Amino acid sequence: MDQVSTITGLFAHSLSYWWVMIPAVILGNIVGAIPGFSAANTIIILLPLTLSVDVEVALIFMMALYSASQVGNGIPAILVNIPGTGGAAATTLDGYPMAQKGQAQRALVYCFVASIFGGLIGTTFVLALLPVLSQVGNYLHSVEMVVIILFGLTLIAVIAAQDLIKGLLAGMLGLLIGAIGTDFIYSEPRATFGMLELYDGVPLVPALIGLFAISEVFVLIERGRVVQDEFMDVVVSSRLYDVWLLVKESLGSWFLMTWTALIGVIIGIIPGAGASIAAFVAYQQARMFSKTPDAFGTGVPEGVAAPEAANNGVTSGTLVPLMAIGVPGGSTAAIMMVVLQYHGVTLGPRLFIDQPELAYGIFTASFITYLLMIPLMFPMAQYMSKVTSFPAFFLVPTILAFTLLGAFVPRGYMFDMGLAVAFGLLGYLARKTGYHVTAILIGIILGPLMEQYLMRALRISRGDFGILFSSTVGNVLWVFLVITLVVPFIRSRMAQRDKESA
Amino acid sequence: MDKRPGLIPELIIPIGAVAFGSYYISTVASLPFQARIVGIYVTGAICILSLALFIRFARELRSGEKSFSFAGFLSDPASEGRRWSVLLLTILFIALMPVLGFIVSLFLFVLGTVLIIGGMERLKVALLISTIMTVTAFTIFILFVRVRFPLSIVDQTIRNWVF
Amino acid sequence: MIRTTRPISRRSLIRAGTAGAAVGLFTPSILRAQAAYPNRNINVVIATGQGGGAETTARAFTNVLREDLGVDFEFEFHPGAGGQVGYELYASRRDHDGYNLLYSNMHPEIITYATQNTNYDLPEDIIHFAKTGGTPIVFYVGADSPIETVEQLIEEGRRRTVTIATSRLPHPGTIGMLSLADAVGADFNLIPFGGGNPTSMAAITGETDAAVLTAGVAISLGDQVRVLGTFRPSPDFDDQMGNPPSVNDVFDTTIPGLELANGWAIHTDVWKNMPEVRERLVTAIRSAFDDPELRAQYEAVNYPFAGVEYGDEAVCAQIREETIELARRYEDRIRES
Repeated sequence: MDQVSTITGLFAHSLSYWWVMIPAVILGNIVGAIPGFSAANTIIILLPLTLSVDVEVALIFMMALYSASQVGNGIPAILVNIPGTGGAAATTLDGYPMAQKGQAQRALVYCFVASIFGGLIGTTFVLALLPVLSQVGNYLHSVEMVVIILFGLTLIAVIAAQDLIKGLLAGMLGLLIGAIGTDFIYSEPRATFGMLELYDGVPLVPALIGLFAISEVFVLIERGRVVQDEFMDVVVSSRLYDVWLLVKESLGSWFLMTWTALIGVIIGIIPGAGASIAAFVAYQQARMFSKTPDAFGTGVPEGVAAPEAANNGVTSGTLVPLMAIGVPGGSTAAIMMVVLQYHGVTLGPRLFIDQPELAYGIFTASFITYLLMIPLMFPMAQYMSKVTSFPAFFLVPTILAFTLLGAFVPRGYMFDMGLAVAFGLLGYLARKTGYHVTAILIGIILGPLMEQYLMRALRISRGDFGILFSSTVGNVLWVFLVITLVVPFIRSRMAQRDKESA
Repeated sequence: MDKRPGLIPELIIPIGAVAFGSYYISTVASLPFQARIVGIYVTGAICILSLALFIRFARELRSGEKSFSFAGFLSDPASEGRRWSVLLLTILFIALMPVLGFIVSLFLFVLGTVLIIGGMERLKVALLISTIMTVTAFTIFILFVRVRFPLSIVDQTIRNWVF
Repeated sequence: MIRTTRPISRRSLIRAGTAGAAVGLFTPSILRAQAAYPNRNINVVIATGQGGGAETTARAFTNVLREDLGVDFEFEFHPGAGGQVGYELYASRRDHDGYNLLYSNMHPEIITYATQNTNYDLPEDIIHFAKTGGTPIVFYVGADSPIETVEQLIEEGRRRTVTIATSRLPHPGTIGMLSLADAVGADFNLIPFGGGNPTSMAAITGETDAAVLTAGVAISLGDQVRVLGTFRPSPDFDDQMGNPPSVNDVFDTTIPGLELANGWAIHTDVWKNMPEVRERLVTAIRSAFDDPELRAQYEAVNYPFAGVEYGDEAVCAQIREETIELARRYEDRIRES
């Protein structure tokens, strides 16, 4: 009981830091929305600041920035098809089609509601079950991760359904592009065209913004604006009350958001995994449980809600191994660890006994941050959605310039800007000739992760594929995967039979 | 002119994928098994799928459903002109940034793109947009974040002047 | 991503400010115009990712060097291919002017050099000139593991395949475990996890039976891991790890005393042709070891100060030769493993 009262007290304590959270949320939204920036590199830029303030302030600031940047990622993904991170790539699948249909505001509200809801559920879940969750890593090893990523990879086949051969070919091309660079075991370079910049694999940000944003820009030149002409009359409704109606509507998907947020937490806990896997697995789950799976990809709000809830679940999940074991689960967590170390905080199990205000405080702070986002973010939805009706002569140069500069930022190579253009051309060609860009992208994002876990599992077994079926948790996941693949098939067969008998 | 949809554009991706797969295999041929395995399986899949696709294309050609041309790939000449000019300008932007520096290349790039799409009559708007973009980008990327973009004398002078 | 960071310390600010003002007041303007090296910020290339051991120790040094040299340090990180990316980039794309330095994880990066086709040559293009310290290579199991001692680990390894997590295959830890396996007839299967954090995680969560890494990492994990043995006994470190036995003592083997050293490197032509740069850097780095601030910097980030010791160009050359020889000897063994 003692712990419960400590945690309750911590909520009030975290709330007293609202003056740190509000600027951090605003900043986080902005950096999340700029391609190439992320919470991790923003925290690095602000190191002098975080190192000079009190440790609690620093921690709350970083946490709020991290959460808010996850939410911010969704904004350009929906409005102009720019996914700044692998996690946001799943949001574009339905978010951008909604924007094209004049429903940008609806998509943004779903994105914000799902993010905030997912964030709140995620932190509550972690706070309630932290001791249990810190054990998750003991059960999800390379083998189990292979199956989890397969959930995401099956999306290739699903997306390819309209033209199976072309879709699968696109997915395979994506996987092969993802396999460029040194291998995970021997560090031997593969298919790098002799270019140093490709040794570490194809950089994700240039590939993402090239395939999605730049190829879209080439289409926009012709079309004039994001919203298609026939939907121009439905675009704008600038009353706050309408936003409220949309919020109520979106809360109808509470079960989906809860479920996908929990997927996010669990995947976030596993070191090295993260938002990209979680978002695609969540998207696949949403589609699978939907009554209208075939509408996914054409602009259904559940397709926005699921990956966004998962992304924000990951935020809490990543911090579990950091706080509980002292090993960061992702790049943002790694930077946070550096800052905490500079402040003389040793992470690990003892922290929960020695400094519970820090160990639990990071999660209560995250909870409060998400609450504060409600008044901060919803009013923005109505203004931001206007971007979709901006004329091409404004949008095209702005998107091109910002995405190209954004491609440069993470690594500082001019090469990456050229690479973004090359991927833009590939994406344009694929769109024009009916090969699915999304299938290529899923291959590029999930392929290297898949290879890494698969290689590791096979190395542990010395090449015996039997290892993939050697663990109980893994086998349960396999069964789920098979069900996931078979159920839609049976459902469509039954629907067909109903139609025939009717 | 032939109205049937052309096949040539559709062929680019499978042929490119097979070529890339062959290159991939050539670079991993001498590596240990574990470094090779993914490349071999994925390239195998690409070859099978491409073969299936080629057979389908051949049928479509024979039945007269599609033609061996670029038909349908290009839209009206005005739009295509704009599209490829923007692409050319983008490539020039990247190629010339190391020479011209951040401000000059970005300003010219944005200005040029707005004019290509919006037409010469929008010169004033174009100047306004490119000025705002350049100032914003310079402030964010160079002044605040200090990303190491190639800087010319102009950029350095302005940066030193601000600080 | 590249950026400058200046952790604020009030004392250093005041000191630097005062020093700057004094220099400004008393230096004739002609001298200031042709100021001696260094007169602008120094760029540090690191061939691993952010947040790793190399960054932490490099920053501890630059925080001290900054006051001596009177200029700031900027960091850039180019991980990939076991250091090959960072080295190649440093050799071919950074000006050879003394304002670009490389901070290195010497052993793994030299092993990469010895076993890969690289476009740079050590020491013809890049020369390691100052060792800043070394950490012994140790191996450990998670706290919940049934394996209690190194003898048990070997016993298991004779009965079945024992999996050992390692950061990467071209790494002194891998060489150590493989040579131990060969010497005692055990079957060790080394699994690269691509970095210190995931490697530790593999041992703690039981994905692998054990892990091999540096003593620094093992110490930072505290009682979540049990250190079974060390390849290079060193009282300062051993005290903090429950005094693990030396492998060579237990099994009467002659495995080289494996460690992971950090150090500074620079373009060889600068080293040879710009004596003023060489002198200034060496003096500054040397005297940093006598500055109590260096220890304070290490303690501030909970890093063991044990093992921090200066090694000159000759020490670095010896490390380079020995490591290259070791790597070539085990090259095929690593590939076959």
